[in-house]
Amino acid sequence: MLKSKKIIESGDRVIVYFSKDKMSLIDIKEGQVFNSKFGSFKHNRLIGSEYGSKVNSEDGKGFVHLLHLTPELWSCNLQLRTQILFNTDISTILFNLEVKNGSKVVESGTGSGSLSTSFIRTLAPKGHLYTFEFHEERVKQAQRDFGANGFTDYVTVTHRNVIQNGFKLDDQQNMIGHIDAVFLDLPSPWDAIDHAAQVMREGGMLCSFSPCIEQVQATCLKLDESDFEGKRRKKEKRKDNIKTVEVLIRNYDVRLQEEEILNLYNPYEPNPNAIQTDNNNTNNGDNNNNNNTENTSTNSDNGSTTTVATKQPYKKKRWEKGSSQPFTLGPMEGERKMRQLAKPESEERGHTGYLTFARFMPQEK
Amino acid sequence: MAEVDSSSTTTTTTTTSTTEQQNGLNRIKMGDTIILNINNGDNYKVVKLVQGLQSHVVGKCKKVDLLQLIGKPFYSTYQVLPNGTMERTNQKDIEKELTNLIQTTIDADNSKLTNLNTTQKLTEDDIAKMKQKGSSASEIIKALIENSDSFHTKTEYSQMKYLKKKMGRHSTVVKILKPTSKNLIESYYTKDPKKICNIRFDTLGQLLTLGNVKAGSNILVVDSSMGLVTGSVNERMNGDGVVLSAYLGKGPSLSIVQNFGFSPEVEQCIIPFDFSSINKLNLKEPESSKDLKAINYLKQGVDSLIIVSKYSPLSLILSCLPYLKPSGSFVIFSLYKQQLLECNQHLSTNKLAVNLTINEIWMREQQVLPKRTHPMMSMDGASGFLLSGIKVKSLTHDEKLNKQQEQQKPSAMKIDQAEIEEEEKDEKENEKGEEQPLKRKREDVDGDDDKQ
Repeated sequence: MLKSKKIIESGDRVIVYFSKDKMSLIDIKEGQVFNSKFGSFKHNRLIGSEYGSKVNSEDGKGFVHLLHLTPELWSCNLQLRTQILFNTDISTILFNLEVKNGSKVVESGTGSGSLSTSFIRTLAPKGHLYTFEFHEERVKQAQRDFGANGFTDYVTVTHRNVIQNGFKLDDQQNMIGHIDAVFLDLPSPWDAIDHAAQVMREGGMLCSFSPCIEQVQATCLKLDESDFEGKRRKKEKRKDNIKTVEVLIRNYDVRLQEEEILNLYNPYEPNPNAIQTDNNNTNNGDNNNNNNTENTSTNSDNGSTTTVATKQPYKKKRWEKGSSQPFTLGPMEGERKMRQLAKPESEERGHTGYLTFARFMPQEK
Repeated sequence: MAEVDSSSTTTTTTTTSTTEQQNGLNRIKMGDTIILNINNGDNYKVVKLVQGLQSHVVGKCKKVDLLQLIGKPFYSTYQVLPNGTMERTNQKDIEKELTNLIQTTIDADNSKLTNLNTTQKLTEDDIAKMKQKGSSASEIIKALIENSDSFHTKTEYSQMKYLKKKMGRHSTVVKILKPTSKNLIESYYTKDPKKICNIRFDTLGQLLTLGNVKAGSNILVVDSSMGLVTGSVNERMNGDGVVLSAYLGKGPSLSIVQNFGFSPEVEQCIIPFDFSSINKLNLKEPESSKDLKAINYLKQGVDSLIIVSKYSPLSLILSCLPYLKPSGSFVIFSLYKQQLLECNQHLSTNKLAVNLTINEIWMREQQVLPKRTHPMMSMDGASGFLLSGIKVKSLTHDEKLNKQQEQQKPSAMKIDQAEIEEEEKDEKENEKGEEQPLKRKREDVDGDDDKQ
């Protein structure tokens, strides 16, 4: 995942992309076949293809694109063991924890490794991720995943209950006082804050992710008692110097939609001819009126772009071609055309969790 | 197993070498750039500490020698005294001092509050006199309370609010921030968001992950954010990789990059170049010697492409896309959804990219206090929009061969194909001269065959 290659080889992990919600992660191995709804693909044929290229299936059912694995695609394709964090929260966490190449980061718990993967992408090769998980099976699976993704050098996965035993590792003495960032995704993050303070460097950042506001309150109280500070608010200058935010993403569903336009008389336009039925017309009010709509639409139907082009400075694009169809609605006439329209996705997350950020600033002794 | 052993030793060596650096990492040195956050508010000041630095105006104090901060830790807080000395303090001490001034009155409520300015007996002149005598902020505030008729009738919360307000007016508290991407965007976004293309911190964070910014990459950045985006990308890669920063206009405008305080080895990863070089490359014009280094990197192909510009993004993305490696990530920021829809339409119809997503972020800050937790009253609603995607090659090897054959002898069966071609001719006739060769070149670099 960390190296970008040009040609697919045996042993690579490749994303087979059909569509935004249909993609698969495959390990390329000679002699194997990948079967799916979109057809079957022999791995031997994929080997030697370029990343980013399009491949038709053997049985002519469809085609796919072969893509590099990125942490973002990994989040969409990993085997879920726990509720995972997605890109919006991940981006905000990485940015506010100031993670960069060379950072040393502590994470608890590992979960399914979605955030860990993004951490490693950003901190490798000079940095290191120390990740802790109290569930043994998840530890093993995470180790397998990190190994397969080529992360072995940049991550240490430890099976431990951090609330009881903290973050100190016996064989990593130099991590004490050198951790740049700590991320907590725990049911009781306040119990881990003292442990975090023991390994963090002065000026390091801590983030706690909690779905419930009661958890946030307890965490903020604990942080406030400890050596953590944040930015005080602009307006509310109260005893609250730790920042809590929630971030949600709003995805837009962009589609080529059919749009129906009725050719009606516009009483606000001084020129009675000037009803725009065609989006392409920006400045030619004399082009269309109720009488010659038929003509214009037939023009574009025939694809006689030359006549249109002389009238319109805007050039016809391929996807607009032939898309304008006349229709009638009782005594009224109209035009049907395709247009790319966007609306927010109807199914979205309403809440993931609150992110609390604070900076570790021990008092001077 | 042997492999694992060798790797673990390499990790330990890198850790020890960074350990030495880390001890001095959080201390302010000569030559560092610092951000002063004055009175926790809108006021930020970016200063580079150099030998013989002139004294600065900090809040109420006219002459403050900032070189006294050398050796102090970043993120420490100071009370600036009228004589210009800076006294280390921290937020909690300030709170404590104020809490001591609160006079708790049972049964207090705000029912008797008036808007008249008659409750305060102390005049502006009195305060000015006290300041001249060198009274500290808390002394002034104490005097204000003693001369206020209404203070003791307020609730505890109102009293605290009043004290904080007065504290902000009569004292100067400065926090010294490190010039990281997070702190720089905060200071510029509060001061003048237009300067940095109105890009908000969470959007910048998204931009960096969706652009798959990682060490060892070559990244093409089209930047009209004064170098904030270029600097943030470079900060993440931290000396390992190349940032090709294209500027639009006469010269590079990367003043914010200077504020990051990169070491020379890290800073040299940024290669600024004139965007018109890309256009010239697309037009197959002779290359200018000025940007040869950048052009060589472009010809090799870049791993990611990030566009943050005040110009309409469509023409920018189309001219840059040939230089993005197939399967490379790209991300475009715009304040306006319509501009990104246009790009989305073009990229998807011409099958230049997959996984195209347009999104915006809804971000809300919470006030978290015991029994007084609620979302902040005002929030920033304009995160701007991001279009992200992955570049692909639109034709398979076989299709490419077929297409070549079709073009040699167009048959009646292939009406669609012929029609498309015809239209493309029309398009090209209608297009202005500058766009025409650009399009041809795009197909060249993609490896697709020229349709003419």
